[in-house]
Amino acid sequence: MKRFAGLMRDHIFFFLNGQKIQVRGREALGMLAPFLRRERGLTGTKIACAHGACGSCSILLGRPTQSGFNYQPINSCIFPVFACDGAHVITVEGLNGPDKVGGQDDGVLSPVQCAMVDCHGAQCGFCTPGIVITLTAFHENRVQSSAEDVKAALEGNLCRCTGYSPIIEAGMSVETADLRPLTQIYPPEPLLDGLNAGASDAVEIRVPEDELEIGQHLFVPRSPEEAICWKVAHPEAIVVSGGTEVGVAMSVKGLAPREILSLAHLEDWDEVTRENDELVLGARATWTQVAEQVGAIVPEFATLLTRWGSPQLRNAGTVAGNIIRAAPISDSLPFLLACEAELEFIGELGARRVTVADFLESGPTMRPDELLRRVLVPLPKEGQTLRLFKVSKRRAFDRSIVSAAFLLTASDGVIEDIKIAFGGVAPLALRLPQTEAFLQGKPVNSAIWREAATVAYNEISPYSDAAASREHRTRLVANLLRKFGAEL
Amino acid sequence: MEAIGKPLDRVDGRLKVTGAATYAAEFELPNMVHAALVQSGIGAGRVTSVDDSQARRLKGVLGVITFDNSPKISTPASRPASLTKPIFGGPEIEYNGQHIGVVVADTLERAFQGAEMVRFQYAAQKPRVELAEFKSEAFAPGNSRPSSRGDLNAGRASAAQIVTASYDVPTEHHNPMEPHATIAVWNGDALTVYDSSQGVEGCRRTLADTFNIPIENVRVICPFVGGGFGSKGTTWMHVPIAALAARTVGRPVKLVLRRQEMFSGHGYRSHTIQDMELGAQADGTLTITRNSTLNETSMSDDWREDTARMTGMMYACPNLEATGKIARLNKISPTYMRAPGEAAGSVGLECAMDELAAKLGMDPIEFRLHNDTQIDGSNKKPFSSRALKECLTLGRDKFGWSERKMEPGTLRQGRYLVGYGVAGGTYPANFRPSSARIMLMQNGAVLVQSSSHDLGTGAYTIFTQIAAEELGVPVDNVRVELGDTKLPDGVTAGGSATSASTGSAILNAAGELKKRLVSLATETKGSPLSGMAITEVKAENGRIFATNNPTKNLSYTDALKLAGQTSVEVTGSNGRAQRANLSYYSFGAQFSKVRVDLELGQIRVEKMLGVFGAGRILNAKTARSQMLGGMIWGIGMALHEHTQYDPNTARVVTRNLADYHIPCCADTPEIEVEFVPEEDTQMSPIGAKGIGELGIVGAAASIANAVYNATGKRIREFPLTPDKLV
Ligand SMILES: Cc1cc2nc3c(=O)[nH]c(=O)nc-3n(C[C@H](O)[C@H](O)[C@H](O)COP(=O)(O)OP(=O)(O)OC[C@H]3O[C@@H](n4cnc5c(N)ncnc54)[C@H](O)[C@@H]3O)c2cc1C
Ligand code: FES
Ligand code: FES
Repeated sequence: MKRFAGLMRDHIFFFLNGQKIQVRGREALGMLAPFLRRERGLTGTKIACAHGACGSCSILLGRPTQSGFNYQPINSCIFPVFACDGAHVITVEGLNGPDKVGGQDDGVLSPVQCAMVDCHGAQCGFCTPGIVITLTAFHENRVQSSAEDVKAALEGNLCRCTGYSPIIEAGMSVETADLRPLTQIYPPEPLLDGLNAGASDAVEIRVPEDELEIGQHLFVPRSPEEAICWKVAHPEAIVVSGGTEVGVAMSVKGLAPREILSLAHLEDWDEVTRENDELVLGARATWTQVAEQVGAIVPEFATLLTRWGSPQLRNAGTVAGNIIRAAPISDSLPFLLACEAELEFIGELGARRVTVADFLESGPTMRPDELLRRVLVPLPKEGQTLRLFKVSKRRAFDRSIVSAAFLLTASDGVIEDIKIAFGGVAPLALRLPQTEAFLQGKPVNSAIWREAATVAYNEISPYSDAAASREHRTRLVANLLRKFGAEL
Repeated sequence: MEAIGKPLDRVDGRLKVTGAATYAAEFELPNMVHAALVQSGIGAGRVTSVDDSQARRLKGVLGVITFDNSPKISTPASRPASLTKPIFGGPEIEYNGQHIGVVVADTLERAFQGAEMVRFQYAAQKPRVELAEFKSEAFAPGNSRPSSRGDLNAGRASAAQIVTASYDVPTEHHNPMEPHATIAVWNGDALTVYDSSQGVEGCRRTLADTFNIPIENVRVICPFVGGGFGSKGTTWMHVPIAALAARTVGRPVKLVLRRQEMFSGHGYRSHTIQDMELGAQADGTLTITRNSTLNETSMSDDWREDTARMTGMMYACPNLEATGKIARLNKISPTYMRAPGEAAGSVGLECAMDELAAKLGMDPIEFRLHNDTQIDGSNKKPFSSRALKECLTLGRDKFGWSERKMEPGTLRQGRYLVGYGVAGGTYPANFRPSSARIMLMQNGAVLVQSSSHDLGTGAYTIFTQIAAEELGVPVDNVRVELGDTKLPDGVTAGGSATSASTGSAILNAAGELKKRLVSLATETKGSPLSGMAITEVKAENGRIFATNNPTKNLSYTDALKLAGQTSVEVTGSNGRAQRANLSYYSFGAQFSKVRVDLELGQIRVEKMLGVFGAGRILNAKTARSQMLGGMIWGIGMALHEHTQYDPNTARVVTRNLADYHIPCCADTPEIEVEFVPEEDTQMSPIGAKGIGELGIVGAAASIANAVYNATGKRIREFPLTPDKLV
C-alpha cells in the first residue's frame, strides 16, 4: 500500500482574526484557549472551567464552505490548536474587524456589544466575551428571533451574576439592521486564498522527547487510507474527532498523549443522509450537523439533540466520539440500540459491520487498526412509534441521569413488538429484553405499562454516583415506562 | 442635574463587552513565571514523608516549596479568619485538597508536571465528612450570638398549632466565573500583588503581617473582579503562597486556581441543619419561635452560620430562642457566601412559616402581615425603616396570587402540577468606615478614587453618578478609579455595604470639594465673588455664585484658572456612624410559581417576582440586575446546588461546573423586580441601604413553598432534586 500520497506539513496554519498564523511544535498540541491568551495575548477569551462546561472561552470557529465560512461558537478550552488547521478563528477582540484587534477604545462596538451595554448584560464581565461571541453567531444571517430562540442559543454560556434576563433582553434588542455580517467584516476570498496553499497536505508534527518531557507525535491524514495506515503503525494512538472528550482529558486531567491521530481533515466523513430506509451518520458529523438534517427524518431524535450538552459542544462533538466513548450517559446510544443500528468500521482488512448492541457487548472494543466510519440507523417505519427521553438534574446543559428510547409496533391495540433501551442504568447503555418479551402480544393499556414497570424494575441494577442514587435511577426507569405508556 | 437614580449605562460596559477589561491573571510582567499548587490527597491524617527530588530535577522548575522546607513566615493573628494557620498544611492534614506545597516553573505546564512529581507518603485517617454524624459532639462556639426572649413553654402552651421540622441546606460553593488568581512581584522589601479580591485593604494587611513588612511596602491592585460573592472577601492561602513563591525564586509569579482547586482552596456556605419549632394562636399570632441550628466548620476555625439573626428579628413573637452549634469536619473553613446567615436562615424560618400557615388554614401572605412589626424584637429597637408589608402587598397584587389554590396539589396544567409560594426576606443594612478622594482638574475633569471594588455590582457606575450629581457636572466628565491600595481606604466589597459606605464618602468628599471651591472663589483676586463671605456663596451645577445674586458667578474651572491652580482635591470619609438606637435592615418579599412533573420529579420555576425595600435606589439598572442575579441564585439553592464529598476521602466529587450545577440560561423564569419607594437617611447620608445580598434571601424558600403548594409534598432537604419528588 502506498503510504502517503500527498505532501506533508510539519506545522498547521489558520487565520486568527483575519491574520494568517502558523503554529508548530508543542504549541500546536495544546488547547486553543490558553494558546490565545498566552501566546497571542488575546485575553478577552476567558478560562473559567477548562472543562467545556461554561462557555466563557467561546470563540467563533469558521470552517470553510463552498461559499465562504460557516462560523459557529465552540469552547476553546477543550479544542486542540491543531484542529484549527485551515479554519478562521475569531475572538472577541476581532469581532469588529482585523484593525480593531488590540484596542477598541475608538467607539466601534458591534450592535451585539451595544445591546449588551444598553441592557446591562454584563455585571462582573467575566462571562461577557463568551456571551458576545454566542450572540454574534446567533444573529448572523437571522432576521427575527424569539426570546425562546435567544435562550436556547445561550444555553452553553453560564453567568453567575446577572440572572440571565438582562442578557436575554440584550439578545432580543440587537439592532439587526445595523449588523454587519462576518463575511463583510472578513471577506472570505482572501482568507480562502490564504488557506489554499498546502490545504490538501497531511500534517505531521513531532515533538522530540527531552529530559523529562515526553515526546509527542501528531498525524492529521487527508485520506482514510493514510489514516488506517498510520493507525496500523501506531496502534496506541489516541484518536481525536471533535475532541470534546479527549479535550477535557487533556485540559483538566493533564493527558499528554504520545501519539495523536486527528480526523479533522477526513472532510467527507461527516455525511448525514437518508439512504432508502436507513439514516446514515458519518463518524465526523457534529451533533449540530445531525440536528440540522434529521429534523425532517426523525424529528424525535432532533428534539432530543436540543437537550444534548450545549450548542458549543454540539458544534464540536461528533457521532463517533459519542459512540466509541460509550459512556453510560452517551445520549445517542439508547436511540441507536432501539433502532438496532449498525456501526461500520474500516481497517486494514477493509470494512466490517457490527450492531451497536454487539459492539457494546464486546466491551466495547475494536481492533487497533480500526476506525469508526459511519453509523447506519434503520428508520422507524410507518406505524411505529419512537419516543426518546432524557432526564437530567439541570434543565439544560447537563448530562443525563437516565436516558431512554422506546420503539413500539402495535396494531389493533396489541403490542406486536417493542424495543426498549436505557442509558444511565448500567456501565453501558442496554436493551431490556425481559421487559420487551413481557410486553410482546399484550394489549396496550395503562395497566400493562405499570406491570412492565415492575418487570423492568427487577431487570436492571443501576449504580449510584454524584448525579443520582441507584434507587432513584431504578424508579426513573419504571416511571419512564409508565410515562411512555401514558403519553401514547 | 439629577444623575442619581437614573438608569445610566455601566461606565465599564465597553471594556467588558470588548474583552478589554483586565482581570488579575491578565497582567503581564517581565520575567514572570508560573506556580502550581500541590494539594493533599487525603482528608485527614499526616504526611509521613516528602520527596521532591524528581520535581526539582525537572527542566524549567525554579523552586519547590512544601511545608517541609518552607521558610518561616508569620501566621497573621486571625485576620482574616481564613488565615489563622500557616499557609501550608502538613504534616498534619486537615482536609482533602489542602495546599501543602507549590512548584514554580518557567511554564505553567512544567509547573503542573512538577507538582505531580512531588511525592508524599501519608498515614491516612478516616475523615469526618457527614455533619449529621457529629451532631452529638456539636458545641456552641465562643462567638455565638443566640437570641432569646420570653418563655418558650408559655408560648407552646398558648399555641393552637405548632410546626416542628428540620431543614437541611447543604454545602454550596460560590463558583464565581473568574477563578481566584494572584500575581506577586517583589522589589527588595516591597511587594506588589495583583489579586482577584473583594478587599484590597484586607489583603494588604494580611500580606504585611505574613511577611513582617511595613504596610506601606505592600500594594494590592485589582481593578476588575470576575465575581466573588464572598469567596474573595478574605485572603485565602494561595495569595501569600504566590508571594512566598515570588520571593523564593526572585521573579514575578502567577498563580491561578483551577476550578477543581476552588473547591478546597477557599471557603463555602456552611452546611446547616435547622431544627425549627413555630407555633401560633388560631388567629395567626405567633406565640413561639425556636431555631436550633447546627452547622459545619473546619477542624480549627469556629465558623458560625448566623441563622439566629433573622429568626430573632423578622416577625413579632414574644417567646423566642435562636441558637447555634457547630461541629468539626475535615474541610477547609466555611466563609461568607452571598447573604451569609440569611440565605440559609430564611429557608428555615420562611418554610416553617409556610407550614404553620397551612396548618392554620391561613393564606401565607396574610399570616406574615399579621405578624409584621416595626420593632426589632431581638433588641427592642425600632427599625430605621421596614417595608415588608408594602413588599408583600405590592407583590400579591402584581404576581397573580389570586390564582393560587389553598389546597395543595389541586392546580393542574396538562400533565403538570402548578403551585405558588411566597417568602419574606431581610438583610442587615451595613455601613462601614470608608473614604474617597475627589479631584477636579482645570479642564473640568473629575477623578474619583477609592480602594473599594466593583464586583460587577456597578460601583464604577454608581460612584460616577454620585460625584456627578453632587458636583453638578456631566457624568461624562467623571472618571472613577477603584481597587488599588494606593488609593484612599475603601471598604471591602461585602455585606452589601459598598454603595452606602463608599457612596456616602464620595458624597461627603464632593460636598467638601464644593466648599473648597467657594473659598477659592471668594479668596481669589479678580473673581467676581472676591471678598464675599463664604456663607453668601454657593457651588452648584458646575458654577459658584452669590446666593442673593446668582448672576454674579463663575464656573468651577474658571475659579481654578483664576487662582492659578491646576486642580483641587479633597479626601473625605463617610462620616457619622449609624445611630445606635435603631435597627438597620433591608426587606423583601419573594414570589414563585412552579410547574412540577411528578413522574420525572422535575421542577420548573415558571415565574418569579421579588419586591424589595432597600432604601434609595442609586441606579435602577444596576439595582435590578443585582436583584435578578440574587433571585436566580435562589433557584440554584432550591433546585441544584450541592457540593458533594466522598465520605471515605473527604474529596469533593462535584468539583467542576459540569457536576456542580449553577443555574443556566434555560432555568431563567419569567422574572421581575420591583422596588418600593424608600429613602433611609438614618441609615446612610446617601439614603441607600445596599442590595447585593437581599435578592437571594427567601428566594429558595418561596420556591420550596410553591413546590409544596403544587404537590402537597414538603421537601425539607435542599436542593429539591428529582429523586426527592419521585
Ligand atoms: C460539559 C460536557 C457536556 C456533555 N454533555 C453531553 C450530553 O449531554 N450528552 C452526551 O451524549 N454527551 C455529552 N458529552 C460528551 C461528549 O461531548 C460526546 O460524547 C461527544 O459526542 C464526543 O465526540 P467527540 O468527537 O468530541 O469525541 P473525541 O473527544 O474526539 O473522542 C472521544 C473518543 O472516541 C474515540 N473516537 C473518536 N472518533 C473515532 C473514530 N472515528 N473511530 C474510532 N474511535 C474514535 C476517541 O479516540 C476518544 O476515545 C458532554 C461532554 C462535556 C465535556
Ligand atoms: S472555560 Fe468553561 S467552557 Fe471553556
Ligand atoms: S457577568 Fe459575571 S459571570 Fe456573567
